[in-house]
Amino acid sequence: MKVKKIKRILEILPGALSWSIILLFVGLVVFRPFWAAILLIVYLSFWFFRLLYMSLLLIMAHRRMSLKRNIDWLKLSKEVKTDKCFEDIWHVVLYTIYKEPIEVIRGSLLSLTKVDYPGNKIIVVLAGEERRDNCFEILSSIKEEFKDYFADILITIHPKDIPGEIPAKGANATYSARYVKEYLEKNNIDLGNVIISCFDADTCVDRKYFSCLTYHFLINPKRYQLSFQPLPIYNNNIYYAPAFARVIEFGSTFWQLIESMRWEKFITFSSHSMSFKTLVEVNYWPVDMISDDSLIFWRCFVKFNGDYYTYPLDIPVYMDIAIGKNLWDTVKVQYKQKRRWAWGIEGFVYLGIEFLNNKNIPLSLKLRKLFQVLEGHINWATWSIIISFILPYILLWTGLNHREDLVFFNLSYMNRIIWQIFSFILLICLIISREFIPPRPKGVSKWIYLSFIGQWFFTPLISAFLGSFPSLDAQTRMMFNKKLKFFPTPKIRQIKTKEAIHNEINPCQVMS
Amino acid sequence: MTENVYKILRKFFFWFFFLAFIISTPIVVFYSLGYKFNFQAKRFEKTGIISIKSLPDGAEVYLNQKRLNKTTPCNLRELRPAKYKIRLEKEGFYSYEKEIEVKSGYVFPLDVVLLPKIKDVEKIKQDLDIIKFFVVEHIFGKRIVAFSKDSIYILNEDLEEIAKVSPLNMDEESINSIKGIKEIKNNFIFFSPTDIWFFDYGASLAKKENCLEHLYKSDEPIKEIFLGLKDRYIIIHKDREVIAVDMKHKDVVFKIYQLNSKDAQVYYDSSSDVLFVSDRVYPSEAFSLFKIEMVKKIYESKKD
Repeated sequence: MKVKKIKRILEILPGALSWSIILLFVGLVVFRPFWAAILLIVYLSFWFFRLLYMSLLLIMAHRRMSLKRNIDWLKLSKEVKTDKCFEDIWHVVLYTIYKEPIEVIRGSLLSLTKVDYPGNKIIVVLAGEERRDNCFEILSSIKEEFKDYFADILITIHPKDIPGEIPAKGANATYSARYVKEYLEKNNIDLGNVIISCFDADTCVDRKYFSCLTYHFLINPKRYQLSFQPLPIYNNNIYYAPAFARVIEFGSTFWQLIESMRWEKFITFSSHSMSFKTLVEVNYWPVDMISDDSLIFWRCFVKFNGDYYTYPLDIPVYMDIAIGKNLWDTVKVQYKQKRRWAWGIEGFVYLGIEFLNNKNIPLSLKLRKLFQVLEGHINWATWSIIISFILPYILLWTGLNHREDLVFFNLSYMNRIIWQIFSFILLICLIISREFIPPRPKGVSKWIYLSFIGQWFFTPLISAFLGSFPSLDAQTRMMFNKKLKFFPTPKIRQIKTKEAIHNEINPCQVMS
Repeated sequence: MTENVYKILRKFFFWFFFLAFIISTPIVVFYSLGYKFNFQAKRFEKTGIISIKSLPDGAEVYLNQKRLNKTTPCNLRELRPAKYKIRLEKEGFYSYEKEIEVKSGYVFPLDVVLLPKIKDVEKIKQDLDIIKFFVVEHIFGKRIVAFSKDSIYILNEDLEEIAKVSPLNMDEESINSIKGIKEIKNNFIFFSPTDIWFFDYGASLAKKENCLEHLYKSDEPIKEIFLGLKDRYIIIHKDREVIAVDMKHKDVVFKIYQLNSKDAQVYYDSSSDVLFVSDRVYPSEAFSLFKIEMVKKIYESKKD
């Protein structure tokens, strides 16, 4: 009973804090504009330093990523001498598949055939859903197509409506991983030597991904207390996605780059890898929660009493930009996808409850982690509303009422400086983003490159409408105890023949 | 760089920006409110700002007669509450001066439209004793053709003299009677109710004499003139008739149309060389509209 109450408090807290901050600003703007201006100056000052800090992290992360790309990881991992050797290691690559078109799955597996890692050490798992019609037949045809490339291809079909589960990626991945455990034990493969990579169906790996992953797994003495995070780059369908959707997904990539520099805060996101042994020890991914990618990290964090980290591999995996059937549909898809990501605030609730039962994690670490999750999500839910709506409103109000107080004048001045720094960061993003653009497919005009530059002008508009609202929506739903349904992002690609997909240049070859 | 170096750098930047935020924020807030530390008096003073904008911008700013190293738009910050004299100066514009009272914690916005200096217009008027002038669209911009007692002046838009023709063999009455002026192939034709003159602009630039030529003397009042057939002919709308005069052979005059009414209207479309006339045809009292193909008419007149 007590736990239930604490859980509700933790569910209410993020939304309540975000709304309090927004309402505080609104109230001050309406009733005490002078004090609102002072508070906004402090807020802008905070963002001034934060943006400068973030731009430095972005530059450093990009440099680190560029250096790592040029290393022969396969050679290094073969030569490294630790308690384990290269030959011991097995990779399980688990693709969670729902209703993705067969072309998407084929493209992902094709990228897997082109990695520099020996295919006979890779076991592919196609984790389908019973909810999809003819799922087994579709996956079997894929298996038939690629069976010669890998040690084995396993197919699992996750039954629908298992009690205690919600229809989400985590439940499917867990069902499949349990089957893989049996398979590995039957084949006498030591679970401690197996690295599992849980990928979305559209994940195309870079050719150096597994060699880099293996090297870092081998050299790290605390290899079972580490998750490995690739850099997600959303570019598989970049030439067919609307400009604003490209900017949003580039933003996600850059955010991951920045986050990867903050080791102590870095957690798993989307496609990631970890020790299979650890996965079994923490009882796999959560089956009744939406944010399985971040919650698996928190499960491990609690299991290892806070001594668990996410290591940034800096090697990319390429994924699809979430798009809809038309522009408006794409806006809705993007909104729902970001809201699902923002639902990661359930990690705060999970941690709060788990920390109550865990006496081995120091209180300071518990508080730090709780603050880290809470602060990140509250900032996400409030920043664009304050910067894009409350701040312009007060500046407009000042102009219309001819308020000549110095504080309003300086607020406008600081606002201009913030936008100048923001533009500087956009310029860095524009320069770096060139590296993430795959070769232009046949039939796409070269003029599209102009839109790759012009797209960045959408940023203020996108940040205003898709910046904070999805997160605030998620927190508000949680605050009122409304559940969020798992929203599987639709994967829409140009329909291509099997041969065309096999013949086309994979983005990973270009990036490497 | 090894990962440890990245970690150290990251931590350094974090603490640097964190401390910078902690230290600078109170300073920024105080500064935003207008507070400034007076080192001589060893106390904080609340100041104000003069925010200056001018149209056009780039004007030099003088504060209490002292030139500042600033041009508009600019903000004069950290001003103690007092009265200040602001002067804005820009070449080609009248200087602007104003006394401003700066209040602590407030901004005084100064938006100024600087007035351009017009070059010596009064002087030209006095010297030239202009009787009549016309503004003509010319291929190199507007031209002002000004008639004085004894000369014609061609001036540009800045009233700078481009050409002058003198002596002018026209009395003051004739000059006053000039009704209009046309540009023809970089030259000018002007007319009064009785006369038409041709002004050779090129010859005047070369300071040649005889650049003013009398083209035509009319026995009845000229209402309007048009240029037609590639500017070869002057079409003259007189009280009772429309005629065409050959520019090359001014004695060759073609009668185009006999007007029945004094109130007839005439319009010449030079792009298609068509003459439109509205005239009364007796015994009807109503006005009818006529269209005359000029090329055909002159060709027929030549045959006759």
